[in-house]
Amino acid sequence: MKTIRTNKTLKILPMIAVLFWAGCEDLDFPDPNNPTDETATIQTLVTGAEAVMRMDLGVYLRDLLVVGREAYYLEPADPRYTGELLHGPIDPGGFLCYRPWQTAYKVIANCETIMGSANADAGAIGVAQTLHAYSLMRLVYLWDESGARLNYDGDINAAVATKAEVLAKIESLLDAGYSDLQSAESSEDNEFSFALSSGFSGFDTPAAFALFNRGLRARVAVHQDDWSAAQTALDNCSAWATSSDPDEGVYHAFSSGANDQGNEMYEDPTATTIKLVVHPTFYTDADAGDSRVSDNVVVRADTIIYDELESYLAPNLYSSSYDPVPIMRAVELQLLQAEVHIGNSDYSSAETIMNTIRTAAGVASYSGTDASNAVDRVLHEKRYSLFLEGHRLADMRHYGKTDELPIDRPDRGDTIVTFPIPETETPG
Amino acid sequence: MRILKTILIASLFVASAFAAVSGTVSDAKTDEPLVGTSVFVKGTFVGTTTDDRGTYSLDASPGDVLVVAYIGYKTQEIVVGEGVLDIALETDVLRQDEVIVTGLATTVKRRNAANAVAVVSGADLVNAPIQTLDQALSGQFAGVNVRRNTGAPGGGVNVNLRGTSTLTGSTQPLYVIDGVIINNDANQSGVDVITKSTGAGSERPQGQPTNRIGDINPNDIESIEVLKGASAAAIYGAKASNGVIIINTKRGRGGKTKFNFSTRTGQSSLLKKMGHRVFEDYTEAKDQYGANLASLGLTNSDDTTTWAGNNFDYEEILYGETGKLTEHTLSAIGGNESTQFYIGGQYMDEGGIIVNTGYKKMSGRINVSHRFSEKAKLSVSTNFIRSEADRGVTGNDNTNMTYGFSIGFTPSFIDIRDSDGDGVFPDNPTNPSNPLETAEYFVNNELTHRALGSLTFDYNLFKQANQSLSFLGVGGADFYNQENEVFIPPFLQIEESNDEPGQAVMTTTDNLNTNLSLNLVHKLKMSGMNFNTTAGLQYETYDWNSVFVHATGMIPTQTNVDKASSQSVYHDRSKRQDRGRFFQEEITVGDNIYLAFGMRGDVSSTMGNTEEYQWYPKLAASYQFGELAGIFDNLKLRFANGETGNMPQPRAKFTTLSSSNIGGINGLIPASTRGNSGIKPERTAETEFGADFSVMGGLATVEATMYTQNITDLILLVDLPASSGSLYGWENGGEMETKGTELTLGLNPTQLVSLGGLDWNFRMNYYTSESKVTKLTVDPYNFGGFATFLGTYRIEEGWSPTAIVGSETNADGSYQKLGDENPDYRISFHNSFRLGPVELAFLIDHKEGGHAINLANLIYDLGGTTADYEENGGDRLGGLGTVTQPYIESTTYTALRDISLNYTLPSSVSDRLGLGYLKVGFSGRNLWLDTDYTGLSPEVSQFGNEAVGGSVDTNPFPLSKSMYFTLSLGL
Repeated sequence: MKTIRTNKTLKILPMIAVLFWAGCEDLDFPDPNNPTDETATIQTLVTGAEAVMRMDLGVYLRDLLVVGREAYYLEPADPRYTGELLHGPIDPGGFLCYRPWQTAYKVIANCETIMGSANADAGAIGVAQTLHAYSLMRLVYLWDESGARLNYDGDINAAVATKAEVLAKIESLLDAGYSDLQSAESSEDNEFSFALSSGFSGFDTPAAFALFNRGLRARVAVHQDDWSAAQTALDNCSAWATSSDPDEGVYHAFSSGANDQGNEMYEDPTATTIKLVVHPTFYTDADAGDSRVSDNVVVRADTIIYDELESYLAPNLYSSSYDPVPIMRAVELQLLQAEVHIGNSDYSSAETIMNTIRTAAGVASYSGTDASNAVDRVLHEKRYSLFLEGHRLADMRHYGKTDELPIDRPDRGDTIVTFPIPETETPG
Repeated sequence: MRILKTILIASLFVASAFAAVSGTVSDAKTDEPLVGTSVFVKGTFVGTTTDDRGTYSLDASPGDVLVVAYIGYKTQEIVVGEGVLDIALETDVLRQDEVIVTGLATTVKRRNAANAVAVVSGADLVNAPIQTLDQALSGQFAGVNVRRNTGAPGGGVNVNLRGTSTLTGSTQPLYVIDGVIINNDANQSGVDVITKSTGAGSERPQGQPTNRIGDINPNDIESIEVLKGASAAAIYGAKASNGVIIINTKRGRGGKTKFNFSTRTGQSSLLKKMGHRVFEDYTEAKDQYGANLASLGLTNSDDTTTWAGNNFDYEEILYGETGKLTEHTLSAIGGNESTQFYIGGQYMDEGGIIVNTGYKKMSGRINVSHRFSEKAKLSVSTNFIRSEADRGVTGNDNTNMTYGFSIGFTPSFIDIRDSDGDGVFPDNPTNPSNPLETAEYFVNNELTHRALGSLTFDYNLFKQANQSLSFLGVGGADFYNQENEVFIPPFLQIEESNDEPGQAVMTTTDNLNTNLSLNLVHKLKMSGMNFNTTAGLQYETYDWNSVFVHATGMIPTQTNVDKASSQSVYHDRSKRQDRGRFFQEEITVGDNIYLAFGMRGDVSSTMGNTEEYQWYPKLAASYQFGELAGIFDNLKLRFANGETGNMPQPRAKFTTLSSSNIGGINGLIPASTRGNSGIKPERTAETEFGADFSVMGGLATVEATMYTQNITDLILLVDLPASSGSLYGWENGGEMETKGTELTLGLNPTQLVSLGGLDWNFRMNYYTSESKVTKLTVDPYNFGGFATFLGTYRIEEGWSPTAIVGSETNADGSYQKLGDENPDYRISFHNSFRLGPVELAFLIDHKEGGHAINLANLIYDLGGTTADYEENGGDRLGGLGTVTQPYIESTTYTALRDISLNYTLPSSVSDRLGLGYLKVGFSGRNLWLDTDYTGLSPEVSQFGNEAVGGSVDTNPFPLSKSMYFTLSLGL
């Protein structure tokens, strides 16, 4: 139908062809924004794992602190912190539930990639297994008897692992990691082939990192009531446990650098309004003159009230948005040692450890520690020495004492909530 | 038309000496000559256009039929006799002879169109000043739903054609101006990052971003045509499932240069308030805020005596500014037979109803067309725009900084005003920020510079008396640079508690779109039949680049992002390359039968497979009965069927790693969203039936349409178990069906009954659309909103995709439907009256049904300040977690969209002043709104133009009503 006859047409067609090809570019170009799997190295994977552990750390700690009645998070813009966390039920699709969960599995994804990488040396594998175990431990802290997923393939029809299974997995990861770290200590000149952040300062060689591995192992064993394994682990990190500085340890580091993060726990305690306030019982239950209270809490002139909750106590742990947050400190190991002694019915050794800590805090020593009071005493010391580090809820559960946590609004149905498995993890 | 002109000029060159027919074409009412009217011999390409005195002459034999056509007038056919043939054209009230677009290079007359095609003239858009083009479309068309997500200056408007056709994809129609696809991005401003509503680069930005289509000056527009569904828009292929809006800008027609100037001045004020709780006495305040009222500044704790009794209306104080408006427009239009031009300029400055908010725009356009030979014509359009909006801080918030949140947490007995006027505001004792202080010092500025250019080259390759072949090439470029600056000085209450007080965000976004379209058009006339064959190639590119810098810890007095203690940077690019090819055949038999079929193929860099074309067919037919049974002036039945697509997001096919650093060491983690390397566009197949008729000499015209859309390959962002390392994944995994009806009724009662010279035109648009998810390959899920117990949308087979659910479940655990964003129907009434020099026009818009999740009430409830707190607030809050229903509200409303009254001064006055005309008028926009919805705006969408999940109210920028005075004159 379109027979073309004129000469001018013949002149125009090449013009069209030129335009045509000028407009052509390859349609199959890579993502202009982000790298792909091939770009990742052991260094970027280790750093990514360490960095992402801090993602939503604020939400994770608030969950533990509010449910464990160490603090309230009075956030008028989000009623879930004073609703769901105090009386439940926890929304399995809400951020309080899925964000801490997601963080743990992002860390695990990187650790798994390192494990499967041909470039990973023993040091890298030891670190990967230790961080993997630490992430699972965070899940146990929050999800407790609800368990967690140990299959990472996205199959939501597979059974969710029980708490005991998760603890067993942590145990085996830590032990395998420990042996890899030991082999890196001997065969790789006790040097990692990658850098760790300042949060691991002092723990950045295979031998030193192994101390952290053993500290975690002790924590897990205590939660399993496996006192002999805990003692062995504590013996293996005694260099750290006996440190004169109770703060010596491993931390989440923060900075204002590119794609880095700040400390979500920091607020100016004297600001007109603050969100994270300390549970009033932390003040009223304290022993007279306890410097762990006076150093870490500011008693405000005013009372902050929201949703029928009130407090005049502001936390004072951090002085800036870039202060590090503890992962594990020496004082925790000392208290774990006390727990092990109690578990072995050696109350006087436990009392000695607790009294050393109490003396340093300026409070009177215990005497007469026995089966009737030892657990309450060690829980008291953990509550004050590990203030706002998120151990209290797990400790109270461990000893079956959650019914001793204060309930502030019984008429509202307040209770100690349990966390459900996030809704995307199960069918339906 | 192009070809006709070509032929005409050819005939002037060659055949003018042999002209057998000549005469003048004029307006039947005013006798004014009509310049540029087409006159041609029926059934051939022999023709001409009238010159600047309205005269024509051409070679025709007695007995030939002349067809005389001019835009806006009824086409006339006249048998050629001897000598002079003067022709008077009547205005085309029914617009049957209007040409409408059916292809990328072809048009058809409305009388034959097989789709319900809506057209509005530029003059109808600008009765009253309007900030953005998209807002001007409101209530103008059946099936076109225009929703203001926010009242903030600079807009944030959702234009939806024929209901929901996607769950995750783009929801906005394709905008084509003068043949070139132009950009309608909605860029995240960064204010949502400051309010911690979401992060930088979020898939679901909040802060109700503006749409870049809003930049276009409505005064430059000649006409807007809307291709509502897939059957009409199929020729635009994989980008057209939300319909196509075709805009033609003004062009010169030759003749004496005409100047138009108008100036407008006016003001706007608050349209609707939430209201607030009035505390009657000290006891009531104490019961709400506890015994510790001393900390709220109330020193006397005596329950009965010295209650201050303050009742500050903070909505009135904060939203009570009078926005001042000034708008000047100037245009010139003219040219000669070979060169025509249009020049248009606009300056607009409109203040907002909150202090330090407002909108400014400057726009300049030059359109030039030049015919440089009998075969070739070139048209060039250029447009430069500068627009600037100051939008304040409103909407969702996780810091209690926005105005709505802050007011909700400020009981009316507390005085937070700067009473001595020294610029120092007291700290708000019940909320982390003082909204009056924030409004005074917060900066949220958006500045856009934009340049658009297009070039159309029209070349006749070959012609005979009964056929022609021409080449049409269109190239265009659209570049914008958008700068968003957000700044909070360190001394504000909200910043004091921060470790690094003071924040600034600087976002620079630039984008270049290019278009190239090469078409061949063949026209053949043969024994009462016309064949139009078109085929073409399309190339489009989209290259978007955005850099976002968020600084904290500002040095006092400084606003630059480098004058801060720390910065975070976010850089995002988006790139798309599309190629298309199409073929279309249109056949007209006599005046009665129209038949069209065609096919378009697209391939794009956004598709997983960049080798394989996606094909989109179309088929359309109409039959025009003409005059029938003495009742119908004309009756047409029509049918159309076609398919279109909706592109995947450019990032959807990539599985990548995200950056997560610590202490200056680069780290990588799996991205939250996993890509899908096989992703395909969504596909919408639409079938449309309709009947159009007019009765009793144009007394009434009716256009009735029913359509069904089947959407397949729906792109879902499905939840993945986080234990796999990713949270979401892209999938083509669903099907949806949308059905609707549209009815347009036009009445021209004065056509039948004379009311003393009064001319009354009435137009009603009624439409419905209903969508249903018909297939889902994943488990049903909740989407949008903030949490299930705060109201969310439910995507489930057999459900409307915009159904709203909450905590309430049935005994079997299934969700109870609490509402639906989608209304039952919408209807608008447009009336215009003209009596001599006086014109009155108004537009009433009604929406029946539809729901929104009113979390503004929740915010106020949590603050104890809701107007009905004492009666209902406690119950609403008490049930929170198990009962969501009280926060789901109907969004039925009736609004007076615009009203204008104009008076044209008698020519004796304008003549004495040496003017062509002189007109004065009053107009108003959104003067009245009637609704039971308790929030600030029943149209609210916190999530901008999301297909699903938008109707969440977290207190947007309040709506305003505006009144204007206009003076316009012509030379």
